[in-house]
Amino acid sequence: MIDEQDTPRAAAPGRVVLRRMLRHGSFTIGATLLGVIILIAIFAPLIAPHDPYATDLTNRLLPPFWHDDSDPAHLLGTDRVGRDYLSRVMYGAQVSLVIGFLTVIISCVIGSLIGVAAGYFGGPVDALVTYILTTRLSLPLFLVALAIVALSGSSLTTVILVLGFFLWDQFAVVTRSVTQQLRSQDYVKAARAMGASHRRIIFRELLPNLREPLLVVATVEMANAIILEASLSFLGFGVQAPLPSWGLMLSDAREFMFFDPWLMAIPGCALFVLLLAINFTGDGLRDVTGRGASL
Amino acid sequence: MTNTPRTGKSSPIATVCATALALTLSAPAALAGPDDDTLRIAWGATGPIDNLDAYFNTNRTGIWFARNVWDTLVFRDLENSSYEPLLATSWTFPDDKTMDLTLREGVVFHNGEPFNADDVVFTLNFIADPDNGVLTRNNVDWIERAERTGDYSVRIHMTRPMPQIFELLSGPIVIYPDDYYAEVGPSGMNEMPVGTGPYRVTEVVPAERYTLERNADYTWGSPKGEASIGTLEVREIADVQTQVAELLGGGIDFTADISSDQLEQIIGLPGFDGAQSETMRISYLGFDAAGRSEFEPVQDVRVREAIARAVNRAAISENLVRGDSRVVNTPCFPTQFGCDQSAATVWEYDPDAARALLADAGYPDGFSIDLYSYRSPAWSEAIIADLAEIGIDAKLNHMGYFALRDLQHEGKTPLYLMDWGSFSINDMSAITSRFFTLGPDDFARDDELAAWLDTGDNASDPDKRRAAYADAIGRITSEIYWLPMFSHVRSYAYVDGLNFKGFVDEIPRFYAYSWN
Repeated sequence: MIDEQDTPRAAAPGRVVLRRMLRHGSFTIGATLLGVIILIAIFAPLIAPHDPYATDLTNRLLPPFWHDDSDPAHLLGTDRVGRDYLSRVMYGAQVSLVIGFLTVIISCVIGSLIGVAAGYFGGPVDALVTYILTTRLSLPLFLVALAIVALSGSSLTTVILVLGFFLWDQFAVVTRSVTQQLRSQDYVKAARAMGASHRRIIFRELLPNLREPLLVVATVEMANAIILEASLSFLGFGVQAPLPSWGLMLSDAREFMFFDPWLMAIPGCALFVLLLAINFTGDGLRDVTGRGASL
Repeated sequence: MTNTPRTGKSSPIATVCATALALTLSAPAALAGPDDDTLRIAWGATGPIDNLDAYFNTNRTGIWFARNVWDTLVFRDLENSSYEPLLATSWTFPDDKTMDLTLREGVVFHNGEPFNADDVVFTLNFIADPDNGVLTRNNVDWIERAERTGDYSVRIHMTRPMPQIFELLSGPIVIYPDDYYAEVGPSGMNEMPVGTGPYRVTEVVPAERYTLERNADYTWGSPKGEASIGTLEVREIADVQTQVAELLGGGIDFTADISSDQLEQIIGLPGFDGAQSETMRISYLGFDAAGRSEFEPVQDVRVREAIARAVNRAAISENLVRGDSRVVNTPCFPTQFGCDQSAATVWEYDPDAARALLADAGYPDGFSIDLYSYRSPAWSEAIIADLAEIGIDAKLNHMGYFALRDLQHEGKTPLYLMDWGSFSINDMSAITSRFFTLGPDDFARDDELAAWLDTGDNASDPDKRRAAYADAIGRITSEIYWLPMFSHVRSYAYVDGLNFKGFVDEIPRFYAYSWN
């Protein structure tokens, strides 16, 4: 059930949103870039020129294609143990996106359930949720994540779980406030008058209306999760080598910062482009769905 | 493109960036090195010196500091492999548990206190007392007590015959002024170290910087020689990249924490020079042969042999460690006493044989294993790639040294890439005996091996020691408790115009440096 106040003609709301999306410049750019990166990540095993784990110690630190002495077999050169940099950047997209998506799924489920419960039931439930939320917001996220990962040992799964269980706050804040608004809408009142159960009202009347604001929050949080993973990996507490994480590649390249700056520039650019694409997409979604006000 | 020296191979853009950085940053910098006779040094990549008192420090840079500030009784001449008089002028051994020393006259401490037998007796009795808590007990627990036999003569009573006595008296055992140390103790010595050495300390900001000035009274003919450079300014900088930026920008003149790759790039820039020397530190791949971690595959010697044959040590040494690094086949550094190269079983790189061995051991499809390490992840990654070739899926657990050491002591590490620098002591007891005498680091738990090492450490007959150590080397390498990997190198970069010399014991002798 779509909130019809947003669209002048109730007949084809989806088409209107689509038309707005296509006319929205930064959304088009962001979504296209994101699409391309997702395709690269999915098809990395097919399109990557080399095995990203295959080392070749006699061909280490080869420069990328814009250098005179580059090797055509390694377009972006090789890293410090002779692995193809282009292949690692492609596989690195997989790591970033998997972490981004899975973290957002976990935190979205946690955050929206808590938020809807608080907004719908109000009273003591709301007070409890607000208390938990305040507690969560008072924790310095990065330091806590760092401590947990350091204690429990770092791996891809740990990073996803830690981030997933920490990034739900924005989901909870948004769903709580939107639910509070929706709760007094006529159709919710009508459903309640007809004797619908709480479960039915939450899942059939409220959640469908939360889809768009949640999508907007999801893009912001996904970018957040990706940068947190890169930061943790950069500090040596994220995913473990030899997994090709962009944060890890940045960390490995520090030693060569002054003399082979491309080793830092390439994963840095990849991270920049992905985050830009996600943020453009998120901004565009917010604009075209008209859900910006609640954020 | 192979592993040719990369000097000058960096891209034009990179060179321009680095040179521009050097030029921009050097403009406001103070007078550089030779102009004000000051050598600005950065160290600290393994953390700052925890205590400047040499007996309460385990950090390598603390050893560097100590060598320049204090003197030892005996001087170890690395070039001629001999022991020469330093604070002691002569010595005799009335029996194998007693040593008589005659001391040098005319030496004064930095605070003006004259050096005599009281200082030696006080220092040795202080460090021998377990209640005083000297950190490296192995260095001092052989001293029963020291006794004054004259103004300039002392007698050392030992708890047991000490074959490595000259290594200890020329290395970790430095002599303190008795009056000053009795008054201020270890904490006072940390705040303001006082010794007889070629440099005296003038300023200490703990864990941040130290200023040392040439000791003008160091004219009594020490084999170390008088210092040439007037002032040393040491800054603790943990981040190697910051050290490089400071060097290029003129903030420091000398660093010893950089990698081989960085060295080659820096010496390609105008105004900088560098050097590299092999060190006594060796890396090794350790196996939990005793099953402390309850990981079954590596308890089988065939699996350990498969791993030993799968890892291309020469390629890692040549391409990643670089410089003078070489493959080491013994669980000790080749120059160390007792480290008989011919006693070792040598494992050549042979992945086909490795696969066959794995299949024979019942793992035709390999297995998964955790590899623990704290040094350069590039080395571990190369090993992981080699193991993947024979079907072993090694997962890297990279962590800090102390975290890893604790895990080892708990017996949780089935496979580990570690290294040991022997405190620069040129004797096998400083490395092999530390790891295979049933202590918390011992993953072999081989009683016979431990007994051989005990004989090697304590017998007074050098031939008996050598024979026992050779048996130990044979056992460790044939059973592959360790796969010795390669020797490390230390790279030094500094400004043009510094006369520098590196030594195998990884200790820069700043007193021996001078300006051109």
